Amino acid sequence: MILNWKKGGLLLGLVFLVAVVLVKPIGVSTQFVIFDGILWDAVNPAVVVEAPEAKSGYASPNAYLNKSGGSYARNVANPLNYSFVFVLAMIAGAGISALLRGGVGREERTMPAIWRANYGDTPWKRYLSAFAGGFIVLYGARLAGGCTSGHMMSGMMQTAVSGYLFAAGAFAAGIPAAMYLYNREA
Amino acid sequence: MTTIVLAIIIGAAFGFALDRVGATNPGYIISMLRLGNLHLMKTILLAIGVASVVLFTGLLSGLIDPGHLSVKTAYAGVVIGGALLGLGFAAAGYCPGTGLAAAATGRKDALFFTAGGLLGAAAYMGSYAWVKGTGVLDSHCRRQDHARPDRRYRLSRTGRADLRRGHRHRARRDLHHDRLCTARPASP
Repeated sequence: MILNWKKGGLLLGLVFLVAVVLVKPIGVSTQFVIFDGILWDAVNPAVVVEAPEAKSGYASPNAYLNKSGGSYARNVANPLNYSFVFVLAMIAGAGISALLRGGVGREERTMPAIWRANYGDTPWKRYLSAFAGGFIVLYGARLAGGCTSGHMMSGMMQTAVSGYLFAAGAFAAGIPAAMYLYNREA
Repeated sequence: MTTIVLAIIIGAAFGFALDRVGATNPGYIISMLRLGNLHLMKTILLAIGVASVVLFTGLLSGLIDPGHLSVKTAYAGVVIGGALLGLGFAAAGYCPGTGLAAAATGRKDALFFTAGGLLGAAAYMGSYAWVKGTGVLDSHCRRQDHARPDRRYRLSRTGRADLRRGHRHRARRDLHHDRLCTARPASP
């Protein structure tokens, strides 16, 4: 049902290549910050303000949104920018692909088989672990300045030292963690 | 406008590809990390390899404009952050991109992953000033004293100067600095 690694690898490699040739390297995790910023700004309009003296034209009292001349603040104020629309389109593309191949099975939607084999059938346990996992994944990605897409795929293909360092850190922690957490096969 | 159209086309192609290679299935990611089924590992490595070879062939032959390349800086936080991401990657079976894509395919646990991710990103926004203060975000290459010629240490040919305490260590550090911070691909 899924593409074998040869076809899949070529397809995925082609997408990363086209992105870097035509626009810029693919990255996703920054847009979690931008979306947070949009929500935060909707509740409190003082979070992002116009600032003609800033490099981007926008500023924020939050040090992170305000860094690099307020470039994140600008993207919060104008969500119709390349990177944010890219992530929305990615979500749509994955949804379309899943529709065309007949969707994900009912059981699988709640949790993957390997979780069920190790921790049983209780949905909230899986949801809790996915939530906690999401928290540290994004905290780590922002600390590293990129995630699997931006650092590992885009970075390593450009032979960036940071991409290799990131991959080393991710697998050095991820492999033993996965071995410890998932003893039993699916 | 053109960039928005490109964002839609490339973004949709990326989401489609992620789903078709099986990356939206946390089962494959967990199996890869526990070194069981290496399908995704092979896919990712082939993708990086092919893209890299074509990219550098294109750059050398002048067919690809290097202006779109963007290399991120290396600092201690890259490894620490990578390790944190690795832990969550193993527990959840999702990374930021595949989590969002998986939520779109109807996986409910991916919605919880996304919610946790939004909170984690918010926590980073909140703690950024503190993190910056610890120095883990400082680029290795920005420590200018390694690069200043008058403050450099060199490995001596006879090895006599190396006997001085710490000299050898500092000389190695300066060499390491050169290797990491000069002769890197052009970044805009």
